Amino acid sequence: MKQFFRPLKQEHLSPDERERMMRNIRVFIQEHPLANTPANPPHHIPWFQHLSLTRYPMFATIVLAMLIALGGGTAAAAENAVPGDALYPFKIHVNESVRSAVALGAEEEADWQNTRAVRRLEEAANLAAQGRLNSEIREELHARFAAHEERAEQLIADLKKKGNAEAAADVSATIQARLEAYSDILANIKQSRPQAAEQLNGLRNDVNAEATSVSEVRAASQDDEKERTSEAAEGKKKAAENKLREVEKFIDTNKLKVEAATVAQARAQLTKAQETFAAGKASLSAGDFTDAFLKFKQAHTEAERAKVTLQAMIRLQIPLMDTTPEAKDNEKKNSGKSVSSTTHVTSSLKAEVLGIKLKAKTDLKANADIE
Amino acid sequence: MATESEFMAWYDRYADKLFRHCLYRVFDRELAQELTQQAFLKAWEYLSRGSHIDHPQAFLYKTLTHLIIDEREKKHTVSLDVILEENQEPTEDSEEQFMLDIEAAEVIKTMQTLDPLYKEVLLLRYVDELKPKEIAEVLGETQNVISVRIHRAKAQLKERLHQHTRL
Repeated sequence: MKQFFRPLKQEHLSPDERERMMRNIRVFIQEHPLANTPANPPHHIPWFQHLSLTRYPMFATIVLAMLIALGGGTAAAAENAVPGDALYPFKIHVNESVRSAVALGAEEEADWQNTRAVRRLEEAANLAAQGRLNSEIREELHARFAAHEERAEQLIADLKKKGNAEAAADVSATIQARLEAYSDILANIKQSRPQAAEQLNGLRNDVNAEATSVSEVRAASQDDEKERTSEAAEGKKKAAENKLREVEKFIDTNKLKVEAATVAQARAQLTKAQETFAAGKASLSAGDFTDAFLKFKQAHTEAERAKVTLQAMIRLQIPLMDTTPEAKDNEKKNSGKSVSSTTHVTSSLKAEVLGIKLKAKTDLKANADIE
Repeated sequence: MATESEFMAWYDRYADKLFRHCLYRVFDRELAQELTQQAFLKAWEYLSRGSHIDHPQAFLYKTLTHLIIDEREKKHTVSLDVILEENQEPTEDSEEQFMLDIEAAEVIKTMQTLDPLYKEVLLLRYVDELKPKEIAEVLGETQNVISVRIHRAKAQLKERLHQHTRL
């Protein structure tokens, strides 16, 4: 019997394949440190390896000089940079390029391109909230947002061409949830920053247009109309279960970083996702696998939206106003009273938003010390 | 809880096995690599949430199996003949390698005629070289059930081979 199977044992990963996979895994480990352990020193990836991945060789030379001047931790410090900051080019041309280079496949790359697009949105929202979003920066960020979204759509179309309609539908659903969450977030910011209303409206129009485009692509794929097996429904159930658990943990871990109203909103969104999940389980027990599949998928999207909203609020440090119909009714009834969860972006928070955590001294640090 | 170096030791020990197992389920080298990588990433994600993995081999195989099932739901079935044809690129390999490739193709074709549960245990036992106790852990069955299944799988395989040689 062993002799019969001997020919099958000749298959191995080639040294290059092993090396590439190991590198991808190490990058992932660096981005997802173990919980409740002292900060793990990041696996050291030589800087030259990052630079070889950038598409901008001239810029690579400049970056190398910056790295030498600024010392370690630059990549981490750059993550909070916005247009106009010294480290902003590093953020978009090195940090983000490295992550693109180690994307696992078309699905992950599409998701990452959308993530890059919303990072541009956040930068714009941040600047608008500070009154620093001029038309030049707005145009630049709009162009980058559009380019990333176009790339994401291209990758989704490629997935469909290769027969991966399911993967295309999944990543489209995640992207749509993310964009819709950001549309709400921008509406909220506008309420707490009326002076930036015009700029924020423009951003919100971009986001809504993109979300509509993605939803049209999903509708055209008719993925939701396919018949599903019990295996597929069970698989989707597991994915939804993991996502719900992940988001619950995320809320618990980060609840002290934002206002109570923001946490409450996130929990309400998660509860809605859990209710959808429970409905999916009922359909599964009743043998309606297609309905169960769709409900688990919806629960996954709803949970993702809760996480995206909270993540953005943590990064933007701008309090969330409750935009549900019930809250709007309450607001009308209490129109004489001030809404408690709105206006508290103090100068110290502004400092946070401006990247006070940057290790390198920049001009912006001087501007951040407002009081 | 496993550290990063322990986790990478798991990678060194199990990556090839998992890849090979996946390859004979999906018959697409690039996809097999992708799914194998995802299995490791999911395992790390599990650890990063504060959970423990007592039996990494079983955990990784189970995770990989789920990924393979999910992938099957996404793709249309392609004829095995087409896959085997596409993967047999002309090379300048030795005669021995050429014969091995032919033999492998024949083994795969025969395996495809088996009951999926039997095919799975034979791959785990004779290609991945897992012990029955380990297979039981991977598949969530008792050792007894696995031993019986292996026995029946071998019987079915012999019957198929016998039919093949008679033709």
